[in-house]
Amino acid sequence: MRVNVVAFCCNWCSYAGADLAGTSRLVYPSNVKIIRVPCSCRVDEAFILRAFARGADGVIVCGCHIGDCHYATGNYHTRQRMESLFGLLAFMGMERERLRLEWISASEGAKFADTMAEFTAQVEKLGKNERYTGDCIKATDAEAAEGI
Amino acid sequence: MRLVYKITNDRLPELFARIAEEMPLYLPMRGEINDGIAGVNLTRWSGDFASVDLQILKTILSPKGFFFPASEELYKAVLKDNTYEITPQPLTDRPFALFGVRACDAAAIKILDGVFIGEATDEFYKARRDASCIITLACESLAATCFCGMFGINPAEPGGDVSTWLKDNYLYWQPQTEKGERLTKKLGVFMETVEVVKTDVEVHLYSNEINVNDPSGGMPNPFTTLKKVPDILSLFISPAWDELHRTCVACGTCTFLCPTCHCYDIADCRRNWDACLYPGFTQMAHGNPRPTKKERFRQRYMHKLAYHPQRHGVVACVGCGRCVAQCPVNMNIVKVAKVL
Amino acid sequence: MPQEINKKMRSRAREMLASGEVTQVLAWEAGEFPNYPAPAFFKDETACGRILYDRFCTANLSKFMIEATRQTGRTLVFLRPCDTYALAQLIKENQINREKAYIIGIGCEGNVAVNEGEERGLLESCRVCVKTDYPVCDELIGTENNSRTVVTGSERFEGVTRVEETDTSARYDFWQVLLSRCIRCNACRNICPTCHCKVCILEGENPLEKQFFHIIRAYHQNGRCTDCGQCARVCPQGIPLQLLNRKLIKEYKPVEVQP
Repeated sequence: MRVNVVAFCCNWCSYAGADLAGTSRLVYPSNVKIIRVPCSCRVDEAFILRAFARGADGVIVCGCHIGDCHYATGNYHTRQRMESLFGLLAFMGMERERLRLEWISASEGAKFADTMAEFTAQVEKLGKNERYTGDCIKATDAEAAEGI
Repeated sequence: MRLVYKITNDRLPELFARIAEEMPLYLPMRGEINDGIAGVNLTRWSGDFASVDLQILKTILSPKGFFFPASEELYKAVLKDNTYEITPQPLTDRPFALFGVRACDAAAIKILDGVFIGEATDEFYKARRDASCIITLACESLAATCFCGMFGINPAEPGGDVSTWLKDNYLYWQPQTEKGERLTKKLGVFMETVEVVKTDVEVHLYSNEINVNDPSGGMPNPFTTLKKVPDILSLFISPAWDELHRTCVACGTCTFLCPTCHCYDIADCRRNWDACLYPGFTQMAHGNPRPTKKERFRQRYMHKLAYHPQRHGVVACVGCGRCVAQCPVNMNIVKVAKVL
Repeated sequence: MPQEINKKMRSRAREMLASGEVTQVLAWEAGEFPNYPAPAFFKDETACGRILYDRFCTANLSKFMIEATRQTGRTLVFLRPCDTYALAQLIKENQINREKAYIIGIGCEGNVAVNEGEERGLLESCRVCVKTDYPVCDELIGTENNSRTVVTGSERFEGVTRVEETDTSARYDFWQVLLSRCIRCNACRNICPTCHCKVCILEGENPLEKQFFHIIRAYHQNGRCTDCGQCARVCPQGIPLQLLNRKLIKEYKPVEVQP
């Protein structure tokens, strides 16, 4: 079963790192779908949940190393927010291993490829995601269709 | 005079199992308690008699969800070759039974019937309604938040397709309609028939402190006074609304729990519950005719207390008291009626 | 004790209205049914005779101040400790004009849950209350002997730790059972003091959605939630929403953002 991994990559560091991995012809799993954002702190918690709702099985948020953010303080916010969000989702029963936050710089093409490979393998071990897929009309009770 | 049947309380699980063999049965059951309070709601019978609660007067959610679901798919639209292929969803007409519906809720279902079945019939509602068999249960007492008597509803005579009541160690069962008779016939010789003179039962229930003429225990009835106001316009422009709406938070809890509230929104192919209290309810391309909370608050109560009675002859409230019990700020229809 | 505070509240309210220092008073009054008091605005001295304060006054008043301080004139409001925390947060977020509010902190022994007019023990949030002070107020009434037992930090998060200690699947099932009860009445959102967006982003797309809504709503209160417990109190289906907010409070470690 092919798992889907969504990678939110900040334009200045991690997306450039992905580019470098590409130009260096480094191989990493094609399950990874990259979404470019100007800064990793642009990633709203709703994006992550929507990703799961639309069929993602794992989500990784990549940004610049701490101290190197193109916008000076963006990745501090990312760190704070993603830690909170991942903690909350884990609390609600989503497997913690489906979520990751990684700092990858523009020169780290190899690190990008390796991280993606590792993360994809991790998600593959967990299998397809069935939790918080956002098919919210169906309640857990199969009788929901009949009544309340 | 229709026959009355009875069955001992210890055989109730058998009765429920027998009904469930014929059709899905929903009865008041306590939910799983997990840190919060799990109230009682009409839940599908699955054999667990210990969770059944026939003493509770109000389920948290009203039975309207069985006929007018919180979210219902009306049709499917599939894009095919540049056009949409629209298939209406099949009507839900599999028979089911609701047990333990109280007089207030049964009266509310009649009010909803007046809205959804008539000149223009809502097929989805009608299909579910025709498929349902409502087995009511008479109330032996009143909860602190009940005020059904203000609308002439007799908690001891709930109506429905079958009326039941608990007395001594028996459950008495009396079919009231054709549907009720048919279900009773299917239950076969399961219960004993008994010749019970109606008045015996009435005396028993009345002696349980419910005075049918004043079931709300002495509270003055603001709804009868309200009926005497002939002019809807004077109610509409009353300055009382300026103060009344201020503490409402417009959450919609009252609307969703109310057994007679029936507003909905159709989004794409789904019909969802909506509340006229919500700002988006009358939001249109040109703007919103009810721009502030005051107008929306006024709308909800004018509809229940004035517009609906004018069109259908009955106040759109049955005194179940769910709004009273659950409003986050303890606003309720009695207060509004009194102030007006 | 609430009765004494009640008397003082009425007299102070009358004083302030008479002197013109405030144009309206925000407190509670008796509802139509016994033990269901409702928040109310009092505009003159006679009306102040209806001011009621007892252990059934569970609704928070800070949220109403957003609208009240937008009107002309000052509003006198009586706040319990948890309520003052909420108000302080709203002031921080520029939702309340501090000049237009006169705040009197009132003593609190904890509020009780009510079921059909009968008392059913302390509210969950009051049982694990950690607040004893009044971060924003102009004066105090009846706070000399706040006789509530205040819990320690770890007791406060007991509910959260109990869930954390189960495994992932058990946690998922736990929340699925609870969230499936949700009817999207939005009471939790509308009563929450820090939920004051003019248009909620969770409105509209799927009005019956019950999972994202709670995750995202809890998340939006991250760092702002004052743990007043109103969300869990008002839920008609008894979903323990305060666990979500408390989990975030437990994990929140303010991070220095200056480079």
